[in-house]
This record gives sequence, structure tokens and C-alpha cells, in this order.
Amino acid sequence: MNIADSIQINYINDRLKANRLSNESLRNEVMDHVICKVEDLLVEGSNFHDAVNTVLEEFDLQAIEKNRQKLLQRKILSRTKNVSLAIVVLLFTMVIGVDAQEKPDIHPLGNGYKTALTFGDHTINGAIKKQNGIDIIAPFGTKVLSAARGEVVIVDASKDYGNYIIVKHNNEFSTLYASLSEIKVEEGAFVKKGDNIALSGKIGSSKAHLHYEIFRNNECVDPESYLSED
Amino acid sequence: MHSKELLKGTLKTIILKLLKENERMYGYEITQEVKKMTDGKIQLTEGALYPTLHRLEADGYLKTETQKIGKRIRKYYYLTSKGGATSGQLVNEFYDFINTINLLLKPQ
Repeated sequence: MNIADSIQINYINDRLKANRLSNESLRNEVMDHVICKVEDLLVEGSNFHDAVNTVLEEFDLQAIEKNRQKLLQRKILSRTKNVSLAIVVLLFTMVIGVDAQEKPDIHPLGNGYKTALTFGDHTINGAIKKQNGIDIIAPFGTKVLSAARGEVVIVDASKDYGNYIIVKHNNEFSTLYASLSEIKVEEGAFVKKGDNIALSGKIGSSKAHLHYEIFRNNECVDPESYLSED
Repeated sequence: MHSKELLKGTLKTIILKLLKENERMYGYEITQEVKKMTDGKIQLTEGALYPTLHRLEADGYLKTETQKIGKRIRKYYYLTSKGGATSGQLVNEFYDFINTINLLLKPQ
């Protein structure tokens, strides 16, 4: 039995997104797998929603993301054939581990840029829309800086975010930079506070801006409460 | 069902061998083929399969192509020439390993 219905496919896509499967190409792949399993259950006489719930319940999405990061990270280390370089990388990793308290507290564009859309709920055309971060108005091509040192864990693109990067700073903080015109780092790269990681851009016909989110313990928090005053 | 621990080191070999015989396969197809061939004794989990596929791709053993199936996108994996050469080598190594383990485990 085939699921050709785009409403059903969108529904599964949203469920996967809700499960924080953020990488789009991985999500497409997992979605095909999930749909295959759902179709098998439909053939056995299950209804669509029960089938999706059953499949997602037994599907270990977190394990896929976790193992993927682990394997790709190992690849970076194995590529570092020069022993002294490997030691530097190792020391650097340890420093990041030790300095777990570094907060993403610098402005991702340097200061002096205006926030156009603030964090939280907004009423847009009568509907309430939740803003997970802030939109900062900036000319196309403005340098985007990493708000703290950390590891680039995701480089990807999606319809809502355009080109985006996620930097994991420590177990507590990660930051997301979206609406980018150019990305200057690769997945797995280690960056310092203030490093230029991308250039800002725009999404579709929007005004040029940077979209910025801070995750603290996997929850979105208001970035403005972390930006330096000076 | 065989234990995850036993399977851990063999997944790469299994994937490369299947792709040598099947030209191109997608993730779910691989899990189903393995299940069928082993009478359900080996059931690959997605959490192990996809990261390994991505690692093999990053290391240059596999290439991918996508195809639209109805309204969704399916990603097929196939061997590069490096993957093809490694496939046979890993299978031989594994047979060797089984024979060696046999020496250790068979009743004296």
C-alpha cells in the first residue's frame, strides 16, 4: 500500500521535526524508512495514526543523531594523521570540556544591530506564532560570529531556516544561526568565541536579517537576555 | 535474535557485501533483506544502520543518489570502486576471523 497523500507525509515530517531530527537530508531518509514501516502496518490492517505512533515509538531517533555525531567526529580525528595535531585537537576538546560554563554572551553580529522580531509569541495575521529566537536586521553579507567557543554540530538548509548552523558550546548551551548567505565552517569544526562562521543573508523574499536562537538544556531561551550590554 | 554487541563489528561488512550483490539499495530495503536472509535472527536497528551508512559514504566507500518516490525522496546507496574492492576483502577477513574463533571455541 502506498502513502501518496501529501497531508500524511507532512504529518510524519512534522512528527520527526518535533523529535528534533533537525538535519533535513537525514530527516528525508528517516522519513522514507518510517513511511515504509507505516505502509507495512497499513497492509496488515492498521489505521494511519496508530501505525505512525507504533513506528515512531519503536524508532530510536535520538540514537541515530547521537551515533551519527559520534561517527563523524571520529572521522575528523582519524583524518588528523599528524600526531601533534591530534594532541592539539585533544587538548582543545579537553579545554572545552573543562570550561563548560562559557556562555554564548557576545552579539552574533558584533553590536549595533537592531532586533526586528523579539523572542516569544507574536500575532501575525491573526494567528499566534511562537518565535524561538530573534531576527536581527543586518545588511546582506554581514559577518556572523560564534557567540562562544564550541563545535559546529550541524550545517544544513531548510525551508524555514534557509542555510543554518548549530554550534554546541557545552552540555548546557547551543546556538543556532539561520538565514545565512554563506557558511564558512564545516560540520565538526571547532570554533572560538568571535570567530567568523558565516555571512548573513535572507530567506526567500524576507528582508535581509540574521535569525538567532539560543538553546539552554534543549529549551529555546530569549537570546537578548544573554547579549552583552557593552 | 543475536546480540547487538556481536553485531557491532560486522555491520560494515554486511552492508558492503549486500551492496555488492544488489547494486543499489535504500536503508529500509537493507534491514528487510538482512531480516529475510537470516530468518529474523538479525534485525538491524535504524540507530546503528544510518550512522554506519553515512560514515561509509564519508569515507568514500559508498555514493548515494536520490529518487522521488511519489511525494517522498528515497536515498539509494551504491558502492564506489574503493567500496567494491573493500567488500571482498572484508568478507574474507571475516571468514578468517570466524575460523580463528572456531579454534578457540570448539570443544576439545
